[in-house]
Amino acid sequence: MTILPYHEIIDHLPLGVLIVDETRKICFWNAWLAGYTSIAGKEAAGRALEELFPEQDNSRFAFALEQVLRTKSPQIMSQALNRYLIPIRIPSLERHGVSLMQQTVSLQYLADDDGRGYALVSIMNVTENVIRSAALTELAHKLQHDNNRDHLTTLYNRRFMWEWLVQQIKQSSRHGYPIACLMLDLDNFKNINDRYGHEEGDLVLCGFAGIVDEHLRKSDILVRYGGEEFVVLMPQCDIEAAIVAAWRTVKGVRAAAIGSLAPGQITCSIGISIYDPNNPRTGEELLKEADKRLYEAKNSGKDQVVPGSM
Amino acid sequence: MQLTPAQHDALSEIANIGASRSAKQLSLLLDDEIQLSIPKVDIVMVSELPEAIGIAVTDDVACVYQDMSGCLTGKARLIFHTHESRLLVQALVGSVPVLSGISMQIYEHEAMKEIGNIIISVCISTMTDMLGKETRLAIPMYREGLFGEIIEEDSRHAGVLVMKAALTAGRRGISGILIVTLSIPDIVGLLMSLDNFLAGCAGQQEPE
Repeated sequence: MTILPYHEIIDHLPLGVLIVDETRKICFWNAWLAGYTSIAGKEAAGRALEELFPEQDNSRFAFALEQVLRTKSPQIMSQALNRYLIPIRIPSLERHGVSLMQQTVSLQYLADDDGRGYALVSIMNVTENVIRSAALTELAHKLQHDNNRDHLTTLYNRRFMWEWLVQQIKQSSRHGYPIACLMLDLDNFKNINDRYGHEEGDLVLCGFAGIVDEHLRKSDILVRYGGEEFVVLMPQCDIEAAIVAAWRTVKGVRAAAIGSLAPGQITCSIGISIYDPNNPRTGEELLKEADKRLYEAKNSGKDQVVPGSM
Repeated sequence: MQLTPAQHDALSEIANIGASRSAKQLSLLLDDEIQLSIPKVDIVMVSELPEAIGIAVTDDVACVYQDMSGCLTGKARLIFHTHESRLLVQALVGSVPVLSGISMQIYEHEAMKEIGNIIISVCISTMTDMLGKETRLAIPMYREGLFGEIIEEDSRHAGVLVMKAALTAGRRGISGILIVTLSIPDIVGLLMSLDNFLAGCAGQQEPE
């Protein structure tokens, strides 16, 4: 088998290869680099990388080079933290905010027969992977959002609520704080639907959700539990604070014009239960008690709050 | 195998010099204030490692490792509990959602490899330079798994130089552990070099 000269082999590699000597000067620059940068090997030879790209901040590369030549051990420069080493514009791939070739770089130590040290720098083009990853990340964000939200009101849905509640109960047990659970129901919603139609009914649901949300803290979550039933979960909230928040919501809803309906036409009832870390129970039990209190509020004339016991 | 108080102090100081050099580079790279200190160093046997560092063999960990050759032969590993490594990467490159069935974490792992590479190479080279033990490192690798699986390839009779690292990134405190597994003769050689280093330092002190 005939062995080709090494530089011919390296010139055919689908990656950038340069070799830097102990004085930080380039002594080899392969065809891949020459093609992408329009800097010929002869032009690059004898110059430092920062001379070729003076606008670049090369401090990370300078450190990596120093480490490799001094310790004779490799260094890597990830795309995730550095984006690229050599600025190469790739307009044909300009998507997801990526306009320069994204690169993964590795530096390794080499020594010649006379013991002189060199750093072998290889540059891999990972732009396609980065763009694909950005597209997948975007998609994942969207799927995650859609999976966790109710389509009509854009509030959180039950799937998200159960996941959230399991985590919060763990946190509550670890840190010893209570969680308030409010179950809300729009009073006489069936009549509204029957009288004004489903379109108006949908507007009322969305308007109601907006008004309830205005009365919550940033740390609380509002969930469309189903139909005209909603759940508010309030971490680090005891029974007294939950009652205050619930009454504020009841009064706020009563005073608001929702959809095309005048203030007073829409009211709601609320049942409250509290998760006490000293007396643990499941999320299902917490919701069940809030539902029971809501039922009591409905049976006691609606438009009111019925709290559970601690 | 126990460190004498003088060896312990010297090793702590050397480790912290390496840590502060690493932190400087990480701060520049990440354009954020990264603090790294090594509050505890120790030498234990591999079999004593889980208890010594407070990581159970059944704990999930993330690990960047580099093989060592030369005067010291073994493996240097930077280990984080998996959730700590996620916090670190999140603080550095932001959060990446998990899309079932598709690996979205390749770039997180690349970032961890680079961070581990900087910390391991600077700490090890600082130590070996000061102790005159020329040692080369191989390419950094990344691995996740149970701690027991990760150390099972080490001989139970090997020694481990343990350096507990406290890292602060993006206002989050994250603790990792740098462990260097070496054969017993290499550990003995390292301690002898440490004693020589201490003797050299004492010799340089001016008489009162």
